[in-house]
Amino acid sequence: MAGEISFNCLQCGSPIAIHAPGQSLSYACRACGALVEENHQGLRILKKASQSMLWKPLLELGSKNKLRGETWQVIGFMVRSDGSGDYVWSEYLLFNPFQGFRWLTESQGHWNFLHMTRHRPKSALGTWVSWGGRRYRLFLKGKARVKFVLGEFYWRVKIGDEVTVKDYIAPPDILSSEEDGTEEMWSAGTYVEPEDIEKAFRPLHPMPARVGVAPNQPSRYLEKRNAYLKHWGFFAAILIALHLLMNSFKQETTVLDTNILRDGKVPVQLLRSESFTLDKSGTNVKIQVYAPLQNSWLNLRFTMVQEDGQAAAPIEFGRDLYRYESGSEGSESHTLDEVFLKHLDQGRYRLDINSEMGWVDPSILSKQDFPLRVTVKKDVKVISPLVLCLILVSLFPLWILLGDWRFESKRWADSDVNG
Amino acid sequence: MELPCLSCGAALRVQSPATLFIVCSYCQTTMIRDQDWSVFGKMATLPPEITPLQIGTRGVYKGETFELIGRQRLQWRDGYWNEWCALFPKGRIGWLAEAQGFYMLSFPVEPAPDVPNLATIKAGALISVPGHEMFLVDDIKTATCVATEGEMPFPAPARQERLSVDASNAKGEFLSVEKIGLTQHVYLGRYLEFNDFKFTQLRQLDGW
Repeated sequence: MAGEISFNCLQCGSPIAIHAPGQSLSYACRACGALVEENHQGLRILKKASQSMLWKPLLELGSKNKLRGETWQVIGFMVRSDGSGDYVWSEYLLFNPFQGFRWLTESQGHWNFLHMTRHRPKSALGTWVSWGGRRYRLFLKGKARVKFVLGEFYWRVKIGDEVTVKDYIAPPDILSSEEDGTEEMWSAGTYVEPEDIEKAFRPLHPMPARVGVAPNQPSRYLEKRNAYLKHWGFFAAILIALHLLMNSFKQETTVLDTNILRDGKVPVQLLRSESFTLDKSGTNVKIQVYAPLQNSWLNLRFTMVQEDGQAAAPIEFGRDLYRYESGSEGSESHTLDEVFLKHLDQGRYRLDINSEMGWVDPSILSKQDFPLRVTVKKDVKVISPLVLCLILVSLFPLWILLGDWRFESKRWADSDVNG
Repeated sequence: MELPCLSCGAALRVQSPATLFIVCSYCQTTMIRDQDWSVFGKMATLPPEITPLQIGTRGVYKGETFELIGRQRLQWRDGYWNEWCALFPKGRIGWLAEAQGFYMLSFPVEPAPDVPNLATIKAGALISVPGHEMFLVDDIKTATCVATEGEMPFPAPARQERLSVDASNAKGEFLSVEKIGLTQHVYLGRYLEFNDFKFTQLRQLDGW
């Protein structure tokens, strides 16, 4: 390339290009892997014999590529591992003479684009830090050891160099600190979709497949989640408003409120209510019954009869009331009950009630007459259609929330900090 | 004003009234001003490097336009950096440090705030400056001037040594303490991005 400076490898004689003259301090020969570095006088000296060429960079060293609006030249390739040496990842040093250096890291098919920063984060509560107006949560603490290098670096790189790494996340962003015992360096980065890397860098080999969820991989549920929550809130608000509006048109009125005398001495008695009128079709009614019982039970079988000749079948329903004040089972009471009926035709109705009674103490003293109170209200305000609609409207958002939750658990499963 | 090089006679522009030291851009002769200008010596040549900045580059900081009128290239154990002398309106001098793509613009603080003893200070030490968030020392290095070009407000020969302490805080502010010989200066400024300066008159870079 025109204007490119190079020198010959001190070990094998192959030309080594210098892409960042005046900034690079170490060069790893692409032919033999020898490490050459600048010494204090700016002369180049051989530091180390060749490394075994076990790793090949995916991105071509020396190539210039446009990512996020700037051109970046790939100048260095580094393979690092965790403390155990089992977990290995790749890092590419990118250079632009105006913007400086950037890092592209690839780990299990997940890519991050990072830049060093001198803006220190502020530590917040516990495992959180705040940086650039966002809160980052500690994800991982561990070691990073240099295993292999190719190309050029702006510091004196050594195989085996080890630093303590801490990764904080605020997906899709990551904040990472490296500490070598004297200095703590911070880098800030963002998750990059593999397709973007592929498009920008035209890699030399097939891209590695993504494995699992990366610490700062953006959740595809998250955006949806927020959008759905917003929509859900909107629909729920409309439903509630509709419900309130419809109910406000309903004027709850009592069409029957009567006390029917029940003979306290007979076990079975047929009772009959006065008539009441429903002046509209499709009306709902709530029928309430109350009996002031004493140590007795009352079984009521209602037949709601339409009196003005329409051929509609009578509506039947039953209710049990009781009150036991003392006895082997203790005291129990259920003297008030209600029935809700919908979509009734317009007309005159009455209630025929077949009542059957029983006593704990069948002595004559306990058998007293009492009033059976029956009230009928029409156009009752109801909440159940609203509840049903809300449940229906919530099903899909709930599914998204569940997906988000599962994604986040996968993400945090790899964390050694928050477990 | 213009100064004819005392060695080769080339006309040298002197832009800053504070300039005490100048390097002839034609013959590398260095001149120093006492009452009058006199020849000081010869400057080493600058080693090859890739930087978009050059003498004459203009930039903007807080609405004020500045121009780079001189620079020192410094070397320390683990690398290099440039200190560009920036001339602001009304003769004010600022310093633009350029290192590995980091840009720090700072101004001397007068009177200098209390700083810990540079002989014993360590990375990670705290420096408090009234009105600013706490600074944390990033590094302390002994640096040597590789070469100087253009105008300098102090004598800046090659091989001159200095002790340099860099500190930063959570607000992106930058504090540096420089000790050359017995004089010590404190500079306060900011970390900035290249694009923040809206530079013009940049150096042409091959292939970029």
